[in-house]
Amino acid sequence: MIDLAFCLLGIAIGLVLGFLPAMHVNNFLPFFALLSMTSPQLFLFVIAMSIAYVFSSFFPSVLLGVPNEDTALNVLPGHRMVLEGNAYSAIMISLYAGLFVTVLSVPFLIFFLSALTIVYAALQKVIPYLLIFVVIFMFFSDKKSSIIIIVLSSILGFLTFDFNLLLPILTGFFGMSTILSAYSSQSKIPPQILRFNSGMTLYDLSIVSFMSSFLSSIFGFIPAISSAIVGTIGSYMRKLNSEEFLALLSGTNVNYMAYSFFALLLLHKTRSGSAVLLSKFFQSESIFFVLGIILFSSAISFLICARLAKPIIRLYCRIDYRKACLFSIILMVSVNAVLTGWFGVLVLFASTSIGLLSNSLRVKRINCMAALIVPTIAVLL
Amino acid sequence: MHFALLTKVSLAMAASGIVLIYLFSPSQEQNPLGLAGGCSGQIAIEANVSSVSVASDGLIATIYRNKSKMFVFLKDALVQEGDKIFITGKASRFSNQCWIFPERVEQR
Repeated sequence: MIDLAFCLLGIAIGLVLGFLPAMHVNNFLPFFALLSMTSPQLFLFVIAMSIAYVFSSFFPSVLLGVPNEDTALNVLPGHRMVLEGNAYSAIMISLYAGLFVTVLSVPFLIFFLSALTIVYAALQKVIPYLLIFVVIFMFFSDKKSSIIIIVLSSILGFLTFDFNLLLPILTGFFGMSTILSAYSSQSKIPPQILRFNSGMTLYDLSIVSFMSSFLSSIFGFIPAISSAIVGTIGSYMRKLNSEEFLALLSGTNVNYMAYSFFALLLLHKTRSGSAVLLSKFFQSESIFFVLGIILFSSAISFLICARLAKPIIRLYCRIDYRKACLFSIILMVSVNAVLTGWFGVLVLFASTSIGLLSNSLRVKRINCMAALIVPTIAVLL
Repeated sequence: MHFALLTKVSLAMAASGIVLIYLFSPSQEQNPLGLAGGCSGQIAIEANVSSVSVASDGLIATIYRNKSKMFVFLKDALVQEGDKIFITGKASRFSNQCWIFPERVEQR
């Protein structure tokens, strides 16, 4: 049981990386691969770190990039709740959803064990058509001007397809553009209610978590479909308010990470950076061993994040918000420059511009995911 | 929302996670896989080919020895998934993975 220490170390590092803006667990995986660990130790460490990272990354994603009231029309549900003074509720709903979907991963794993290989074999033939449907769905579920974002993102995706530049592409579309908007709009975090102030019940959360697990069990194994797209599809299946939509997105983020490890063991497919690393060392680990790591690390991460929620929100309210945004922007550019070079920074500039354009056109930023989806369709067809 | 209930759920999850980790933890008698791991020198082993992939100048067969994954670079020999092969050659580590450069490959 000494190996459990690797799990705890992974949770600690994952939590720290998630709390910091612009840090992604994928950026640090190559360094951890250099450590001398046995395969089970590496599994314990990497899976625990990745799951803990998803839980703690709810904090910067809710608390950073909050727009001001004038530009809040097209904001994410978490940011809307921050503007209403409900940052604590937003973070707790995200954490609860993460916990619920992890519990649901047990029955879903039984389904995967019995049917995933058959379902995936059937699904594989229709993946390009499913991706085409998603692009059409993205266009028709938004304003007509979303075609501009879809076309520009697709061009950027084709230009960078051979260079493995996911980091600057996604940072620009979703991170940098959000924080730049917040920085330029003189936003600040309004006073916050530090108690759970939501009408969401355990029943609502259970329904949304089940939806998240169900949709992730279909789309989580398909390349280029992000959790935000799953959230949008879910919002057409059931009318969701801001809190339910936030729970759906957060639960799907946790599911995507957890299911990427199931996909590695059951399908030998890699659906996350962490799974790519583990695929190189994968020997004969049991799926139940992996499930154990996911359950343990999710539970511990939930308890730590729930305990730290109030102090961290207080900290965000106290600091100079514009300086925090500026710090995040500098960190994002630096991380991209170090890891992807000058070409990566150029791609970051382009993807940020497209992200900012989608803000000013007031269309959903998930249209930017065409950068991954359209080139994938071209390769698969 | 019932925070106390959810705390109990998470504690139960942590406990069941530990039980699963304990019950299904793979053997502890494995060599480290990092750069410090042992994978060097002359070897002679018999193993089943678990998969074969095509490289630019030959085939790469994946085999397992004591549950450790190894890659065999087959410049001339032709093997298929499921074949039992006997290999003599040199083992060394590249990119954190154990590679075998065979001098002789026999089908068994």
